[in-house]
Amino acid sequence: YHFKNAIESKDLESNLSVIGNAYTQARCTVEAELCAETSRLFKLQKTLSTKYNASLNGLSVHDTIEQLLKMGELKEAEKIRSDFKVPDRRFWWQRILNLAEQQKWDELEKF
Amino acid sequence: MFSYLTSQSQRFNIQLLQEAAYRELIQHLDRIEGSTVIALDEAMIGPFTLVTKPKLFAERAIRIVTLKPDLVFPKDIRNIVYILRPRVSIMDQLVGHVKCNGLVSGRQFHILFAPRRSCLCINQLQNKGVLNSFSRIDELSWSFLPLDADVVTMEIPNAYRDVSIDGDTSSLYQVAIGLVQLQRLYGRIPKIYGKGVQAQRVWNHAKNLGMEEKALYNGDKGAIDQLILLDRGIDLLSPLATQLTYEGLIDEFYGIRQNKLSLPAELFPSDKTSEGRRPDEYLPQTSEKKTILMHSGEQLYAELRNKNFNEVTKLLARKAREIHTQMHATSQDKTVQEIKSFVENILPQLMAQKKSTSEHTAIAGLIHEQVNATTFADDLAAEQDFMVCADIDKPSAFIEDKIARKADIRNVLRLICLQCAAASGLKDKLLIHYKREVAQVYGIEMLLTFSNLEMAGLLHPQTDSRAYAVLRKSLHLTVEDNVEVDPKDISYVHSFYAPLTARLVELSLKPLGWQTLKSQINNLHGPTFEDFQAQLIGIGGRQAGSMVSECSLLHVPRVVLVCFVGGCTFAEIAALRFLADQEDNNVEFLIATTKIINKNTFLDSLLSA
Repeated sequence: YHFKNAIESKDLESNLSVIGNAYTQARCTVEAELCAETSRLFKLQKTLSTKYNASLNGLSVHDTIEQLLKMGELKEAEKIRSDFKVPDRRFWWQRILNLAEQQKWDELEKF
Repeated sequence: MFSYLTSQSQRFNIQLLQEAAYRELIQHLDRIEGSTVIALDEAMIGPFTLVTKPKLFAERAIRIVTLKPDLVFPKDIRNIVYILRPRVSIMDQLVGHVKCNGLVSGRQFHILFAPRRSCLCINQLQNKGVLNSFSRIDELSWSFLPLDADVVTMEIPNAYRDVSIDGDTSSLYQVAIGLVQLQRLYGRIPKIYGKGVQAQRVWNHAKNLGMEEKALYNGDKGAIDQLILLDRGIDLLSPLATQLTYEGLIDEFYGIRQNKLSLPAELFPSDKTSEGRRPDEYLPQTSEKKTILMHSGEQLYAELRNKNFNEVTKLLARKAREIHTQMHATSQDKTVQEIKSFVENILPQLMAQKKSTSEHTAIAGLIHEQVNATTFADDLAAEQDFMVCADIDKPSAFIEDKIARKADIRNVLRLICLQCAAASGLKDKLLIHYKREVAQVYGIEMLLTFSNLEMAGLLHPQTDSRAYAVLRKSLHLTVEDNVEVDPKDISYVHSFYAPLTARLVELSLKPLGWQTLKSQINNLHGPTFEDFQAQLIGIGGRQAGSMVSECSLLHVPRVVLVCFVGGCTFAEIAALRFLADQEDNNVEFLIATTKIINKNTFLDSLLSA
């Protein structure tokens, strides 16, 4: 399954399901799960990209949330957070850093 | 040839090794007639400078160039010698060269593969139809090359990775060849101790190779009394931990390559400020523009390199004070004679010394800045928590925070691996947790990296025996109330953690040390083995052992060759040097390694796909 995995870094997301299956066969449940998750993410990114007219394709979960926060789409970000089981700790780190970056100090106060 | 390779106090003359390597190169070159260009592959430049000086080639009117795809040689050159690592990827470059440069009549191409030729490379040349253009294909059997008076290296940066991830064991074989070569030069080694799978394989190879050479088994006991073969795989914690010796820190921040440190020149104060009036405590140091040579031939550096960084600052401050007082002393010498001799004899030296002091102060200053950064302290604190096994089974909040802030992935992975090494494996749940976190933040490609690390044995599910936790207690790997200044124990190199490898060596020096050690390190991965090469009639290994102890009774230092299969760190070298300095050990080390590594280079070699 390493072979198939190696393809991934070069090729497109279409391979993800193949890789995922390979992982399942090799009894690597985490990896398989993450692959499924990623393909889900790619789909979501496509719809979001057209919706907000921004390029989100190929980003990781974390970066996607970051981009959404930058655009001020808190709702979408929250949705991804619950969809992909992002731990609270990390999410709040992101929010805080993000708010600080945008210098929205009064919002930061609200926490 | 290189002054830094010899030191009077040493029984072991490493220059023999350098000369042997040098001779071999000369022999090859002498067989070639006419004007010559040597093309070096990138990976060979380092080893090359360890063995030769530019003067040699100037004398023979040989030009040296770096191998590049679009290299064009002048028409009047008759011979082109390639000195290469046997890598297939380089062969394509050669093909290109031959095709565009081979038209000149009478021109000959030669290849010297270092350290060994590979069938793959030759086949590749054959397939491209250029093999016939090469008049000679030979081997340059360099294996261990001298780096310093007590360090030899093979300059194979990826040895650990090759074996554990790619399954390429040629580097092990090469180490074995190196060991046989060492024995050829210095006589056979009577006692061999070793630990670890790879180490054992090396020794089996070496034994087989040695069988063929009767010479190794006749003759008297050689210059080396004992060999300790250690596998990098038994101690993955030490290479990942931050080194706190001066040399180790320099290496981690700026990278020392073959004794050379390159720093941007503007960081250093200009050397022409005032005339040198410093006392002659240090030998002059050679330095070219931005490159600073770092080896024990330079006294100040030899003194500083192995010290804990906290001590270095103090040491430099004390030096400065000493210099100050001596400066006053010289200014009171009023007789013309004295001043004359001062100017003639000491002044040139002093200029150089002043330069070296100011250089090291500058470097120390740079490092001080980095060390004082909060991130450094935080990382270190996290590391040290793991080392004392604090909260080792829980997801570390510190690592989570770092992931959340999308910190440097290398550092994150390093800390995870460190935790794994200290806990002797991560619990399944924890490993999954980390994988999820990292994959979500840094992208799914990280799974590849994880699989690499798992294959390399840096990440693995927890086993029942908690090797590290047990050894930490039984071997005192972490020492409380440790002093960094004037240390009493090797643990100063990581502030309070003693590298397992160095500790093993320390304990094995004691009478019957290895025997007691054997039971203690049983739960470490890989076999423990020992071997005796004494073939004196009727005398078994036991007596060979007593022979050695007789030697040490006579206060002749034992020479112990410590061979790290898979690389070692400057901190480990520092620890071994520290042991050698202790009076009661009465021992001299020769350290052999595949490559000097540090936490960054070690991980990088594993991470690259």
